[in-house]
Amino acid sequence: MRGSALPAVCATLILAACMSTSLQADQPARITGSTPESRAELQRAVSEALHVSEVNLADDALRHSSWLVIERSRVRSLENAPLSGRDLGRPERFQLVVADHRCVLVHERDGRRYELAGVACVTE
Amino acid sequence: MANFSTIHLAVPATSVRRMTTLALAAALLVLAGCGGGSSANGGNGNGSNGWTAGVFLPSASFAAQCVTPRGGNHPITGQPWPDVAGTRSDENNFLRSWSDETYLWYDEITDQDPALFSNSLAYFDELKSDETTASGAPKDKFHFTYDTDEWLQLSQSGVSAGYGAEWIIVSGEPPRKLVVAYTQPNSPAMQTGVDLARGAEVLSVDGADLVNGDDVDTLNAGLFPAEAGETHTFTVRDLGAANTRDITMVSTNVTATPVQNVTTLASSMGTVGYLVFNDHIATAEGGLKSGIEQLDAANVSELVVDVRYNGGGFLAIASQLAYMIAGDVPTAGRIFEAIEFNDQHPSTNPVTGQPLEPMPFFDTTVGISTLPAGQPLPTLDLQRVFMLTGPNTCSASESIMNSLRGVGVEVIQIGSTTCGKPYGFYPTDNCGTTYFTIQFRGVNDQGFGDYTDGFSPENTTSGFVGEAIPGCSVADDFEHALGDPLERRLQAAIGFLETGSCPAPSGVANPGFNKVSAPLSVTDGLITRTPWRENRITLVPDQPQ
Repeated sequence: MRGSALPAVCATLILAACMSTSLQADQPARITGSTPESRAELQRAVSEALHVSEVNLADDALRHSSWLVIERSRVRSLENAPLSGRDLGRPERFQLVVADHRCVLVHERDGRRYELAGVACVTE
Repeated sequence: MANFSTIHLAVPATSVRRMTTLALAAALLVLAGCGGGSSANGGNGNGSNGWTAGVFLPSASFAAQCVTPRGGNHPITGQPWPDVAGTRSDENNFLRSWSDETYLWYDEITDQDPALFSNSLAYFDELKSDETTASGAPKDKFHFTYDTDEWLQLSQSGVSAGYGAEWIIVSGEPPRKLVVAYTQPNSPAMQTGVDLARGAEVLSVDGADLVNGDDVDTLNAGLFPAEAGETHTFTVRDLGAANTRDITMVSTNVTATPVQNVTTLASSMGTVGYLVFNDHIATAEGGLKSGIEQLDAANVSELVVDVRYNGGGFLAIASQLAYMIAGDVPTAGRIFEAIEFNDQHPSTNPVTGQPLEPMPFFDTTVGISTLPAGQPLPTLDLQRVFMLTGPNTCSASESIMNSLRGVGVEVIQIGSTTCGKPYGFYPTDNCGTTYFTIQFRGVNDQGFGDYTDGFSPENTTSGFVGEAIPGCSVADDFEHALGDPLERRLQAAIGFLETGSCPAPSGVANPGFNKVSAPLSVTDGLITRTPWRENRITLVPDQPQ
């Protein structure tokens, strides 16, 4: 059901993407504490940004760094090497920032912003 | 009739579907390439439609014309799939034309009537070179497909469901042997009471006998959990232990630590730096930077880089490490790696349409990890480096070796022959299948990239020797931890740098395709990693490929 059952929160996220907070005012931040709800909120924001139903995230995502890096899931071949092994591309990156006392996830590639409701964060 | 007495990684011969890492840009390019329109039968249509050997229409004229068009949207772009109704001939003709346009050895493909194939995967299998290398191995060992939906799955860099124990298959035939190659910090494998360590042997999984049994489904389900939260029990024998023990692990989303065991060792030639580099994932940038900073602060005069389990990944990471080893003088203005396509595309990348520009040695962070771009990288300014290798040393890891040799840095190889993959792909979707065909070759500053049989230490005596370079042939040693000065390969490296001599050769020469069945102390194994459920043990015919 990929892409066909976006949660209601996406509407909020889309609106959040239009927030006009200046990037210059952003302060890099980390998530403090982690609850199932906050992890779900982060999961929803990243999935929305990348148009996927789910992204496999660590439980401590964004707790140790303001940056979140997303790659293709990796699989090894018979030789157990990554199937590409010589990847010329770049991963997707997000940065968590504090903006107007809110935790906001910024997608580096397109600059779109996603407020993380119910997530606690502090500046780095 | 298949021989069901053997377990291998799951790689069926003709319909294997696999997945790899690819940047979003490539996915977008794939989509662009698949932006198909109406059917273009004729020209190089097929069979009764007018197939003529050696005559090709552009692949774009057949792209996205599918027997079963997909509905819905591309999961990355959110845009509708471009698929329209087509025929098997359309799908086969796309593959035929695309291969003619971009396959590195396109002129070695035997052109066959696409109408003769009712299965596009079977047809794709024909669209490659049948040549062999000097060793007798297939020239093209990397020709495969993967289901697009699964290939497009995303994860946080280095995160996958599992236990944090990296298994290695030492023997795939009964009596089988599967041991722990290394572990990830802060993972279930490292928890108190579990305490798995390198060399621990797995004897059974959820009651299924791994050594001689045939309950492969149970073995796979336990060894390679599909998701976090699964509970499985294992009977293991720790290294050197007389008795076995039972452990229970709950899978979690484990975050890999690609750079481990950064340390120094004393030698008569000065302080030797050592680090384990297991994976060219994005987060390795930070680990390598801090690791080299640590070794630089320790004033190391020699370096041992342990890439025996490193199958490659982001090439930029390899470029950075090569720079950090060599420093500014030999790398300034030089090529880390240039990519070459087939002779129809001498100056332009046929996939991106961009001019071919070689990759330099990156001297700063490049903004692919949790580090900001533009941070200067530390350098050790070494004139030689020791690389610990094995059959799992592949692709971007081999590029480190090749690129350093290209700028005059001496590379001394300790271990077994590497996998031999100087090639790359732009994985390309058509009609729900992502196709991997070799499209480019990487060459160093001297224009060298011919190591299809891998790099071999020059004293290798077992099997065929690949591109021979100075060093010592030494089998893997699961009886010591990585970084232990007594670990055979590290010990050999220290011995070589002190005396210039090697122990008796013991390494494995045939990378990746050997079936080894020998004591742990005298062989290499095939590493298995678990980010996705395809990497499994299964019952398959004796010759998987």
